[in-house]
Amino acid sequence: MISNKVRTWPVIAGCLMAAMMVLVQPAFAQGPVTDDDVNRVARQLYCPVCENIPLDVCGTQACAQWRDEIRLQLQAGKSEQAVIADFVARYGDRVVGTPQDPTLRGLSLVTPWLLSAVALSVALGIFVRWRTAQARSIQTGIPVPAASTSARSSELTPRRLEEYRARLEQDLARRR
Amino acid sequence: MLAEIGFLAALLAFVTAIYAILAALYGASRHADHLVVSARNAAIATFPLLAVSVGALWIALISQQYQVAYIWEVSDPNTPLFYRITALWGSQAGSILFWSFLMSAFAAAALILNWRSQYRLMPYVIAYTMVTLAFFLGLTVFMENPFERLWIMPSNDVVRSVFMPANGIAPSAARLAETAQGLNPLLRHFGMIIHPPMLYLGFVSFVIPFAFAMAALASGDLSTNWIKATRRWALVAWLFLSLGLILGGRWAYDVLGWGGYWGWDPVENAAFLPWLIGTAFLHSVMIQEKRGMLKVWNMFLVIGTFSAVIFGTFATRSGLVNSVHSFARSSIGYPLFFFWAIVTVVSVGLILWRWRRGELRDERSFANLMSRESLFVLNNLVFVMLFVAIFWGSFGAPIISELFANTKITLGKDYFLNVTPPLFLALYVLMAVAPISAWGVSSLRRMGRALVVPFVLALILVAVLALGGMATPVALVGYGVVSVAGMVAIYETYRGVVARHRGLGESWAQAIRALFGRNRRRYGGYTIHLGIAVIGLGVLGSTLFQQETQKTLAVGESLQIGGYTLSYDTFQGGQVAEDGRVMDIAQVTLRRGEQWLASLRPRRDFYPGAEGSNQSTIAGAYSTLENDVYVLLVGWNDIDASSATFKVFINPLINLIWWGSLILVIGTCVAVWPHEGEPVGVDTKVSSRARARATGAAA
Repeated sequence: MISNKVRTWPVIAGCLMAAMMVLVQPAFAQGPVTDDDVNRVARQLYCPVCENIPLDVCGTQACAQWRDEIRLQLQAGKSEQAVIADFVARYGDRVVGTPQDPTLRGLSLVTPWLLSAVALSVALGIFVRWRTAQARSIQTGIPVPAASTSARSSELTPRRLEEYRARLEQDLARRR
Repeated sequence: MLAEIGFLAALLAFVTAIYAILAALYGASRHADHLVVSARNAAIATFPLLAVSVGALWIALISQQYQVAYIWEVSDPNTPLFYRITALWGSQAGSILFWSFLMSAFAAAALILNWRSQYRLMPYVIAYTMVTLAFFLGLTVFMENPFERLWIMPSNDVVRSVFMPANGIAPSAARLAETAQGLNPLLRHFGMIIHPPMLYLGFVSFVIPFAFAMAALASGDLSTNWIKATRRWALVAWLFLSLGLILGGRWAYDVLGWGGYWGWDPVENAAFLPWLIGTAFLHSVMIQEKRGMLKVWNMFLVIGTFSAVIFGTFATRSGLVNSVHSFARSSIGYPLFFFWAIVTVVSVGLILWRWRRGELRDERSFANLMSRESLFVLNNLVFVMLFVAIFWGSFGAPIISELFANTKITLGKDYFLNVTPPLFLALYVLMAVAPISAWGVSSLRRMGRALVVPFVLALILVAVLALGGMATPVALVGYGVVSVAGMVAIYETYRGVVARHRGLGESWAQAIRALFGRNRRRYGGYTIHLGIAVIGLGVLGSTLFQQETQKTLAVGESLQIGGYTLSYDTFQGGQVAEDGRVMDIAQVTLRRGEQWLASLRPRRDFYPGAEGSNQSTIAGAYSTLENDVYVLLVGWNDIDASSATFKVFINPLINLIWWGSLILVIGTCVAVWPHEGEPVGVDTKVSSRARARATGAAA
């Protein structure tokens, strides 16, 4: 009786292993998960406890644990995108460094270009205004007014002029 | 005693700076020369006072005075002398004092060198430099005092105070030495010895052009005087800022162990932002000097640069954003924010006031879209667009989303790699075209002729790369554009040398020396452009063609990457260095084919006494001009190290970044260096009069 039991165990174990092979076939079909596979996913993630260092190069224990988790998920047959989506669902957008919401994502990427377009338009507007003013001055013969390089003398009051002359005289006397 | 001396010197410097502000402004308003002179002397006096203060802290660091809380926090008995000296800027309080010291040195130098030639601007220059200095000294005296000592009270509480509190007793020296924390492990690197001072020098020296610009606005002397007086200061500031960024990149590459040099970290970006605006200013200011144009724009740029400096300091030290630089966080965020806001608002207000009075009107207008001034304006726009994009990614999006969208958007490397490359490429295009255009009017035909040779040379390079198997269109376009920019710089210099050699019969060496000597600005500028082009080649290579792999190897096993073979030889765990750190070192052999290349020792350093981040990953690297093989020790079998995991990067052309940086530094030094017989900022009128007197005497 005992000897019969012993003989049936390998059969049962063999059946179980065959069943598992069928169940986890997608994962095995991809071959073993290498460090490079894990890093390919980890490179796209940031650890919340680390500071702006991608997960694939972070040396902390927390990041090592996350990489192990990525490995497990890949071994379980999940695609790279599914692993990333799982991390985003659990830890928020911060782990990927890009908003997942399409509106926020679009806004984030478009805003600097919008601001730049505004700056370019302003610059172009100024250039056109300059060109127009120049063309007009050529037509009319009236030169475009230039700035005075310092406070205009017409704005100086007689009292201030007197003060200035006195200081100038003092300076000259000192130099002599 | 050292703590009292250091603190009192800093306090005195603070009071002196306040006096200088008041005396300068009152003296200017009352035309009281003696008060302005007194203000100048007070401003200059802040430098020796702060030298005493910094000296006291240095002596305390070297002589291991652990009762001073700052010294207890940034050093321990195992810290080598080298790092004791650099620990001065190893944490918040010391770095702010050091910042103030450097600022006082620059302010004193600017006042001495420009006193006579720019006398009218001086009261306001004193006021602006001293306001900035007084603010930072205020932080030292009232908030981040590096001279506070540790005292034990009868209740067993430990309090911090410079002077001994009533009933307080000093802790035992032995206990203090035993518990001292030591320097942050990340800061124990040669790059960190030079990187922060260079960055601080860049930051503080931008105060000088800013102060002169504000003085011009306040005094009403809106001629090009302030530009002439500050051109060299701006270039020196730019050089230091560039060096700070480059050395920071090198530090990240060597210590942070991610295989790269620029991680688009918000604090890195905070230092890059003033560099962008400062570079735009250096180009734009030439237009005002040569053509009397863009007066308002230049004012905005110089204010923008200084504002970005203060904002960068605020971002680094306030904890506004998460970063690898978070060791510098503290409570000084609010004062820094208010200082930044007030300075920016007041400065912009001054510009608008002068502008409304019509005093900042341009003397000429743009005549031609291909003229040098138009291309410089385009260059400025691209710099500003880069500034906007990087600011938005680092600060704008996270702050605005948190304030208004009830979420925090964090934009990582992908954002910056999507948005910035076209703008950088545009800068290289302009770098190729603008130097060959002329002021005023320039024709496409003339520019086309000047571009033929550099373009053909760049085309040959691209063809060689394509024939060599490079099939990535982005890379070929990138290499092509960057090469044209570099070739223009080389070809224009070559043409000048040939003209002298043929026309004047000078030898090649004489012709080169004379060419650079006669127009340092122009040829220094070309050299800088060449440096930037070489950096560009390095960035393209290391970004587009980086390879990496990670594998666990048993002793004797090997891995292959990019034609290299790396074998794991042995492991030396638990090696204790002189400074107390524990090193776990793997030894690997690198071969190419059958040829032995190097024996590398990637390692992990562990600092037992350090708080927070207490380990660092030091790569083993084999460097050639072609590439770096960069090996990191990721982990190992804890029991017998019979197997270890390695991460290996091949970083093509990465060393061109460091070589290009060296060329950039040389170019900037050429541009800054005064012409023979040219005084460095002293009164030219006096000098010419003295020369006339001397000539008369000789006659």
